[in-house]
Amino acid sequence: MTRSLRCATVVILLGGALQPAAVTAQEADRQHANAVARADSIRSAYASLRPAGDHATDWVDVVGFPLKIIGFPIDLLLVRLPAFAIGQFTVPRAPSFFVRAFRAVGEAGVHPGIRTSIGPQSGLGTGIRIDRFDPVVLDAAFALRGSQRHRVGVRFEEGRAYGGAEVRWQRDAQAKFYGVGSRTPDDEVLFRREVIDAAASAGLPLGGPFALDAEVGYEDNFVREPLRLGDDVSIFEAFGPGELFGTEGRQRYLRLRAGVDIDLTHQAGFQRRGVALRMTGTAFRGVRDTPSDFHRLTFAGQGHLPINRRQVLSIGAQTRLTRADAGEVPFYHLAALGGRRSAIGFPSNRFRDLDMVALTAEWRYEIWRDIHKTARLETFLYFGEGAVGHRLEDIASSDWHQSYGFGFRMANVEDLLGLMYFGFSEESFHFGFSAGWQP
Amino acid sequence: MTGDTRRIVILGLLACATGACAAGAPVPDRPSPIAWADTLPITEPPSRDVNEVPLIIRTALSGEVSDVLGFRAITGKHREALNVDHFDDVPNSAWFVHRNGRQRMTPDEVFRGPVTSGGPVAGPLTIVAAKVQGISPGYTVRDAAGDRYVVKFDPKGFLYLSSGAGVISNRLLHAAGFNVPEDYIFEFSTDRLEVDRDATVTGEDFIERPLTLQVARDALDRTDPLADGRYVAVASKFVPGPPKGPFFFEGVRKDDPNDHYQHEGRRELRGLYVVSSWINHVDMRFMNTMDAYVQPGFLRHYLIDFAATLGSGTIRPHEPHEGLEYNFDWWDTMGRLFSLGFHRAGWEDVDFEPIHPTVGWLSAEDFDPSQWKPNWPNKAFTSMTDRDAYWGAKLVGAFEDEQIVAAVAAGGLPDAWAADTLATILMTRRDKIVRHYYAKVSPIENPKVAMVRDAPTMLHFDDYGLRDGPWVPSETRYHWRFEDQAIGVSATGVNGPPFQDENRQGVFIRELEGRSFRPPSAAGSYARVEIVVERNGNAAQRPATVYLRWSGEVYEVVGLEH
Repeated sequence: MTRSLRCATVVILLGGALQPAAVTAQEADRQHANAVARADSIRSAYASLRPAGDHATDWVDVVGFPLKIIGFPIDLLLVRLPAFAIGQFTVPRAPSFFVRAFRAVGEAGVHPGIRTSIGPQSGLGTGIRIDRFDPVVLDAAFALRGSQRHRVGVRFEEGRAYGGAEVRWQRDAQAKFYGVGSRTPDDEVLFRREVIDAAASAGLPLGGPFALDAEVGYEDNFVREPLRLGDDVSIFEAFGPGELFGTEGRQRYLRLRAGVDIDLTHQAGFQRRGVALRMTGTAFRGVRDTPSDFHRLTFAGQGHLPINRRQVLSIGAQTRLTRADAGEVPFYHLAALGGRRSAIGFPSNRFRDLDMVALTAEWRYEIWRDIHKTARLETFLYFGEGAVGHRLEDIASSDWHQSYGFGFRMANVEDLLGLMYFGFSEESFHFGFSAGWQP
Repeated sequence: MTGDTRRIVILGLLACATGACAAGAPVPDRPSPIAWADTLPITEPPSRDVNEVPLIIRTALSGEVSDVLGFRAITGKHREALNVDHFDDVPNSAWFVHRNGRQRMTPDEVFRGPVTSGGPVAGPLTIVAAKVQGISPGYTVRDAAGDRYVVKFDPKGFLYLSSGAGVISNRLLHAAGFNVPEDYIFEFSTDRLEVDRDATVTGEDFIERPLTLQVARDALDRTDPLADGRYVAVASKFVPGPPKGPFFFEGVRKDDPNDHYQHEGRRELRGLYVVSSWINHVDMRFMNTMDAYVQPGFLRHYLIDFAATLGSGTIRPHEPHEGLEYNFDWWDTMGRLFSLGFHRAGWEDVDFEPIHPTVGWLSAEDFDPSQWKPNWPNKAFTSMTDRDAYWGAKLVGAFEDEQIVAAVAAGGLPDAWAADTLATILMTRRDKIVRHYYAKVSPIENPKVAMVRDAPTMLHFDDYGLRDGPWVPSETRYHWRFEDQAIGVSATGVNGPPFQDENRQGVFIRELEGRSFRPPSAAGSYARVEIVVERNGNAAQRPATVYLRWSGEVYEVVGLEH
């Protein structure tokens, strides 16, 4: 039987090879269909002669069957559906109308984007950046909770030197305030802050690691009822007239800022190594009917100490000192502690006062690197101590707040692509996530 | 337990019992795959365009985890390949054709490989398509003879790196038995370039635009010219027949009625792991495969694009972690996560420099065949058993030094030292593969019973360990066990090799003389000789089992299993 089938196979193969050249396409199709039909019958006969095409079920399959049942929804949810969804976006096909439209506006210098926040407590936001008229840049962003940010400006860059000016209107629709001092309860009140800001700035590298920057600006601040208050408490319910400077009327300031950077860091692979220091002084001068002048000094340093190729101990320190020269400092310009830059176990701006100090330490280690070195996934273990006070020297040991946690950073050499962290403190657990996409 | 669940369990247990029976049948009684059975005519299937991104994500995220967490992996009960014949081999097919492993090719045959001509003929080269963006630009050209080629260039500063590696690996894979396209080292001057008036170029935005000669020439900015101003590239000739998309390393192609065996159960694809580890083909995945519909109307399965092999990472030299970790390696990643970064792979401390710009980086001393990994998990590779691995190692071990030198010569490396070094590295890696995988089984082949009057009867065989490996007859022993249940005879013994200078060896088994009055063996009734090879006092992990059938006068060898 096998031998006859093999002979038939050879006949079919030879028949295919020895077809006369001058057959019409129709005749060739018919002959091929006949050959396929004969081959089908041979394939059917082969079924009993050759090994099965798949393995027979064995006891391993039977015992492992429940594991497959349990694992299926996990696999579906965590792997197959995300892979399918990403596949839909990445399939190399003729672009749809929407994609073509998106690309067309991109080529016209209009760039829609999406990010997890556009300002304090703003929620998921979307925006649009227009650089069609370079160096003029327009930027508009809207967030779910009603926050908005709109900017128009010009910017010139030459290497590390830059200069430019911009006008910005920003509304933080549901900003939070917890009171002033280091022992305020964690009951927040909400407020809406709107600011019109016009500024001109410039940066100048001085050679080596040194760089200067300066800014002259004017800002006009309003604090109002928060949008979508719901069951939350408004700042105007918690603080009566005259109790908290900044809640009444408008505060308008002329702002002068100067800063110096000393950057002694370098990239080793994906990891940053070395030390970077920044010092900034900002003076706010109340203008028109604003009875307030103050200045602020900020010192920040970050050291990245290599452990090995994939591990870095990153130690940071920052302090912010705010001094009133006349009148008071509006509450929203007080130094703040909390959030991913100073204390990840607390929400952003959890503690406010004139002065703030924060010390952070991160054990960063790379756990995955793309084989083409385009991205890396880094984990960090975090520990931080921070405090606020009316004066730095007045901060007592009981004013310090500990914060610890861990998280993941996705980054390429130049940019942070995404951040997720879990922070813990004596008050709460805090989860943070940030990512953005703007072509 | 619901009715459906109960039915599934009962069917599973029945199937389990059936499967156990089938697996337990003597090798000569099992069905055997039929040579060329998958070259029968089929209706031309449609081409399939595959978006690799979701498949990569699935493979990366779940491939390794599901494989390792799967109950089969936990128990280590990987099933043997589906398409093995009675002598533990595979027949010729649309996937694989025995070449050097069965009959030694001459170095010249290895050098020529699959090529049938000298590559693109003199005259104009008409660009019909171009890939000018991305990390690896290239053209599709039509030469004056009307043949079409995919032309790809080397990265700047590394002339011959990917083109040389591509052609060398092409020759080695062809000689091993796999289907590969005709790849050529191709040098040309830009004044030969023309652009087909219908040629288009697809940008990173996937928008097709008419291709201009200037755009095509600009792509050459990403490579270096030769000293005489010409350019060098690898030219891969279009395989005959319309392309039908890639094949996958698991499942079957449903629109190909010839595709009978689950791909992860195919021995050629499982054994390909070993060949891939030899040539460091870290990018062995579906995107570098292709099905073509060839006359008289079946799908032939090709391996294509070998730019990321040997010391080449296509756009740069390979780096030490390639070949040792998956691109997203769950276990190493989790190890680093939970050990606070202190879990460290050995390659992390390797300070490597390319061996030579034309060679890139390829390790010989640090190469461990058991630790090699491609960039992405591959179901056929992870299903490999020791028998599959030995089969693949035989393909590698069959290469003689002269053949490797010939294959390297086909890569056209202009520096003799670089070519010698690369050939030496390949020889070292080959030897390590042989030493590793041949020790897991008892590597005897081609057994035959020799009836010798007035002398103990001998079971002859080739000891591939002596042929390909570092072992010598004086350090080798064969432990054998003969059993013929039909006549109730069994015996054991140990023989040293009778022939000190030959690969052909044997064991003396008096019981093989048989009894002439005995009728021929009935189906299912076979004598067996189990042979365990011992080298330097170390016994192989698996015996080789030779199946014998009594013909009425002599024992005939009817099966072999490693």
